[in-house]
Amino acid sequence: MPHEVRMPQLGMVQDSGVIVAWLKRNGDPVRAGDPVFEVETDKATMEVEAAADGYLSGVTAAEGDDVPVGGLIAMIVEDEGDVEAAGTGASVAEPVPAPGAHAASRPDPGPERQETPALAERAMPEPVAAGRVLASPKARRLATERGIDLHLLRAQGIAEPIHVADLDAAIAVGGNSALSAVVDPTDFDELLDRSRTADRTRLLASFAAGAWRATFDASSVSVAIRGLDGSLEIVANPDRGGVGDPESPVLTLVDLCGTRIHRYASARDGLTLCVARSAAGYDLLLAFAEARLPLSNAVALVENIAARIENPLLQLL
Amino acid sequence: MPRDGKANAEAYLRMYRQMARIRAFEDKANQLYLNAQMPGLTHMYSGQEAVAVGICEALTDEDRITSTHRGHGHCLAKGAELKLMFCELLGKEEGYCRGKGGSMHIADQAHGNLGANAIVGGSAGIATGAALSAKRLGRNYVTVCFFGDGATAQGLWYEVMNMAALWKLPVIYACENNGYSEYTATEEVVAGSLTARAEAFGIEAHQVDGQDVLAVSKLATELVERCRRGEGPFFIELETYRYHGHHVGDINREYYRTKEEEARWKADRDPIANFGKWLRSEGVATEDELAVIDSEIRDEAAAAVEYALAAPYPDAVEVDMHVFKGVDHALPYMSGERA
Amino acid sequence: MTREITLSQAVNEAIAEEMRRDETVLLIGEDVAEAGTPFKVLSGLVEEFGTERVIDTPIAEPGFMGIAVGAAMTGSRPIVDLMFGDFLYLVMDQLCNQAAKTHYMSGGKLNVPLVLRTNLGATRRSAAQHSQSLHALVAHIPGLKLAMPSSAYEAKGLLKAAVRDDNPVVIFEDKLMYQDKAPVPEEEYVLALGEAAILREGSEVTLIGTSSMRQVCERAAEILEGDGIGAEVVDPRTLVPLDERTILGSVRKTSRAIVVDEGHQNFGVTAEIAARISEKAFYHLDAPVIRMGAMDVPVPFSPALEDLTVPTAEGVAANARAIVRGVPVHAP
Repeated sequence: MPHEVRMPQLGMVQDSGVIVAWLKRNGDPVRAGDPVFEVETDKATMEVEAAADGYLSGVTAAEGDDVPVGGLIAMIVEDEGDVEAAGTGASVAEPVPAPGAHAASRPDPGPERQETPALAERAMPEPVAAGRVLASPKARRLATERGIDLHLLRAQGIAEPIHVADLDAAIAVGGNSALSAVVDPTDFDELLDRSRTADRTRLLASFAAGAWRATFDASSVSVAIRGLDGSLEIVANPDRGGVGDPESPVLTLVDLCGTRIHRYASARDGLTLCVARSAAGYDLLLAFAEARLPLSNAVALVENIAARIENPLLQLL
Repeated sequence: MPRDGKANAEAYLRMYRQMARIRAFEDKANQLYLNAQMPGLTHMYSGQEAVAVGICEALTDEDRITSTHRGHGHCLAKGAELKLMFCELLGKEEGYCRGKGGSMHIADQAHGNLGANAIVGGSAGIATGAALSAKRLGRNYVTVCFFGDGATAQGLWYEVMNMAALWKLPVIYACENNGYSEYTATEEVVAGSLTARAEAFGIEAHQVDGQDVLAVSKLATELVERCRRGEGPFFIELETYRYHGHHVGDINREYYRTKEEEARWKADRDPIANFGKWLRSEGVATEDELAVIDSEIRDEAAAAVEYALAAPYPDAVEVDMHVFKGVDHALPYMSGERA
Repeated sequence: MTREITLSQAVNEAIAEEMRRDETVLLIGEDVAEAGTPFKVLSGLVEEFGTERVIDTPIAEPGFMGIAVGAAMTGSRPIVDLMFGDFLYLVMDQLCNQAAKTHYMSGGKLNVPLVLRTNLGATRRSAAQHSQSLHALVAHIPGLKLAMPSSAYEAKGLLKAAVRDDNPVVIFEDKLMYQDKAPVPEEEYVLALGEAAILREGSEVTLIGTSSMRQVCERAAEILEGDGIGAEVVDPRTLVPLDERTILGSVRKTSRAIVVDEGHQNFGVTAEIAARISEKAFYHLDAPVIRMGAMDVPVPFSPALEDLTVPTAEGVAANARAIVRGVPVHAP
């Protein structure tokens, strides 16, 4: 059986070896243990011995060639008649891949590890935007969810870094601007009629939360429901069955339907949505501070709530 | 065991076969390494076969051993299968350790092999602890701690010999003195005599020719029986020789030993060739019969290599398995997810 | 029924109960038998279980640690007593290269059910080689579990769990707490590894304290209560595994966290827990997570210096006050 002669792995950290000299020529008889060629690796030169008796055949690497570890460079054949001519030295066969030596053959490291390069990319220093407001991670997240512009808070003179308490202070500034809208009641009333269990106030809270989530891309939305007896209940994610821990409410809902009262705005509750029922339909009134909720955001929010009441299907989508 | 060829033919041929298997395994492992078909590196046992086989001939599957970085011989002598060992060497799922240990950490619980150890002298405590379990739990097994002359420079061995002697533990410290501590002649790193070191703790010490499998098995059989009777611990220094370098890539080693010396050991003191000669002279086996054994073993080794090369690697999901017993995956567990 | 016993008695009871329950459990270490260790934690055990199971060793930490590893691999369940946590450096090879890796290296065939009991804690005026808190070294090594009891109750329940675990478990007791009493049930109980305890509820800041730093955190919480600040105190109980769910849940509620541990602060337990909070609860944080570990100097002998090196309740309260009030601890 012919034996393969391959570039041996000699050092612990070695990818290839340079053939310094062939000590046997193509066709020479060799005995196991005879030095066959010299290899230079890691600045040391070593003799490589034959692993079997026979004749050196089909030498494909020339002196001076740098051959990858495991590369086939010759054969030792048993019969002199089987000796093949030497090659040019340019056609060294690909090495047998050493398992673990190449990234491609490593087992999948799993999702945890795969995240590392992505994290590294994200960790690239981000050019600091001029005027970037310093805020805690939570304050920044809540500001986004509530449509609050941190620059406006800075302009109000709130000291940086801005914390969650500063956002709540901004709410307490109260609503000195107001937007109102009248909405066609037909579909919403029909929804209430058909469902015997639905509670109007809850449903309004749910629509308001859904509108908020859609407008500001918020993940968690709590709504405060102000009762006409003065009570205050905070509901987490009313549009998602109340799942989750109640956080600082994004707005206060006051349901005036069924009373003669047309509007209520409390300085204390900050952003307040009043819903009243008149002959024309549902009257929406949003009281807000433009310092923390810009007019454009307030308009988008009211439009979204109004659209949902006119077409409750939007809420389901 | 009396040197009576006929009476013990079965045992003799078993020992011959085991030594030949170790040699065949190592030749194949060396070739796998040189061909870059094996990840990592390995340490060849060739030349020392009579030590592992002679000692393990005296042991049952209940008896324990601890082994070293040069451990393939111990593992095979204790009963391991070629196929599963090659699988482990190649990091395959079917290997003895599911590919997680490799050449230097093969453990074979079923045959009492508590594992090879890549820290020189690192298993002296484990072997002594296994002997403590035997004594305390009233089990009758004996533990053999294999280690090299290089390990005699480690402090741990002296600490545990002291305790083994104080507590009369059934452990045999078997020092395979192959003359070289990695790339340094042992005489340059050992002061005084090794047997005297064990004797200083009151441990009975023996020296034996580690190339003579009959001498080794005779001494081991006697000491194992005495251990079982509560007369342990014992120390054996076995004079032997490794044919290869410290590890497979240690090719140019003339700076620490000559080629002439290597040739002399191979020609005059080869444990397999000499035992074969003796078997023929005693009429236990003919030359042809031994040649048949040799060729069967070579075929077995070749088939085992083919099998291991074709065997699958472990699945990536195994990477965090077997970190803790009773926990499927260690990463979520360590973050507090209930097992 | 509960009664008040010391941490030392709790440990003694746990070992005695486990040795009665399981013949294979043995105790090994320096002066564990008649002397009962310098802290007298093990007094009386040799009288009940004999020198065959309560094994005095020579002063040879690597040796008896190695023997315990081998015994654990072959059917025994050793409890190793390492007289001072500082001697951990002496047993690192046997603990980290052998015990921790055996199950993995053997592909799950062998395992090492072993408990290493040792201690931590400065301010005993014992200087740099008898005062260290080196548990972070253990927590860094995959394959080792790590428990940090903070009371007699936890010491007993966690030790019993450790003895029953099939893996190497290291337990650090604070040597200043051995005489501290706490209510401990008379009935048998075992605490699960990997379950943190919320010892006090609060809504404004989470104080996470390991071992005796739990008590520092509880005292800090009392101080803060006087300032009108509600602090929640969480005791992780075990660091490997770490009950992230409880810790992160608390921080998500309070938005602020201080991690207090007596190991050195640099590259330590406080850093690891703070990093996990920052990674996994970042968007809930209203203040930077504060680490409070032992000062990064060798432990000095002089009381005047030594007391400066460990976190105090006043220090924890001061940091908590600052972050609750939005005052940066480090200038932004």
